[in-house]
Amino acid sequence: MSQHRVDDLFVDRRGIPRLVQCAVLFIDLLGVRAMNRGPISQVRHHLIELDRAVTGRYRNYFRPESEWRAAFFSDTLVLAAPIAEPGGEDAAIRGLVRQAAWLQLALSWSDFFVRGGLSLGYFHIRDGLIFGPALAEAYELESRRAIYPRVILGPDAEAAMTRPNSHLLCDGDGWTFINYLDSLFDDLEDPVPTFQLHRDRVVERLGRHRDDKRVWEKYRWVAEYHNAFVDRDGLDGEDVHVPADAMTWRFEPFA
Amino acid sequence: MSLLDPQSLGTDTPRTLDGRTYPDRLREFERYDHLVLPLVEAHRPKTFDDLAAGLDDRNALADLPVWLASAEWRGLIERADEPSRGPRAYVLGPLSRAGIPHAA
Repeated sequence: MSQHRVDDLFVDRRGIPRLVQCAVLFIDLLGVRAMNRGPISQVRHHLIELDRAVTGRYRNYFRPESEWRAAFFSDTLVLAAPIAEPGGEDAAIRGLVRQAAWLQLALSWSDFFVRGGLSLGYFHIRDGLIFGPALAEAYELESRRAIYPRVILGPDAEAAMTRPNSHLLCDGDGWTFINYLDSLFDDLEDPVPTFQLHRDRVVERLGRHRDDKRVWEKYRWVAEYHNAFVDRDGLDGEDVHVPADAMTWRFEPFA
Repeated sequence: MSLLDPQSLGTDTPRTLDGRTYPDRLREFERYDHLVLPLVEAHRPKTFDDLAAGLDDRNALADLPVWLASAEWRGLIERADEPSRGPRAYVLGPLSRAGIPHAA
């Protein structure tokens, strides 16, 4: 679908904005405010890494003529897949799940972890204006339900997906989330170095937040996900687990 | 340099030089070969978004990331030289250049 046709979906013949059934991804980049507080050379490094992740790895998420409309503000990225025809929900969500998995991988290589929500519903995105109940739901999922660095699906989005789908996993609390590490097994490249990099990023975050249990617990979840995934899919004897001591909360003696 | 074992190209089980084999789960995406492969060129690298812009089939569009992986494994496409800035791009791979028929 051309840029013109995608844009046309969001206005009527008189140019008046309209809501369109969409799959909507809302993600929040964790720790971005802190990244902006350091020395300017470090801030610049974060900027370059962020730019590389969102425009320079798998795809350019902000390409104007893209099928997937995007908006970025503060530490938030919104990506939408319009459902152009009846019955297109599964394809739209499936495509957005894959986009999100790529994005999470690219961001984690650049040392960004994210939390997000993926919803299905009415949405408007055009000329920088974003609006609609699907956006409100995706934001709610991200800000109140996801809790950990995971991208969870809302009930309607989950119900519209065909099962099974290896790009999704069900968490113990009932939420279905995007299994972004799974796509590494599709790649022609050896996945082991990427798993090692992911492990190292998680271990670094666990070490950095040792004094803040609330934040530390979020990265502990990523470590649990990483290890569960490695255990389930195996990596031919390569040990790419997050070590147990990095994942264990420490208690100090009363002395 | 290609990671693929040239002796495995054109067979049902492509493998890498370090012995990893084509993931079975990618086979179902071979059904998009006739839609996406004509959009890839020999000398003009195409990005994911270039290819997506040429697709009207919503399922092919949704599965394009996995088709790229499947086609790369089978030598139908390969990565162009990494650009200094911008996403990875693809050109026709050794199997396509050689004109060897592939499974539809």
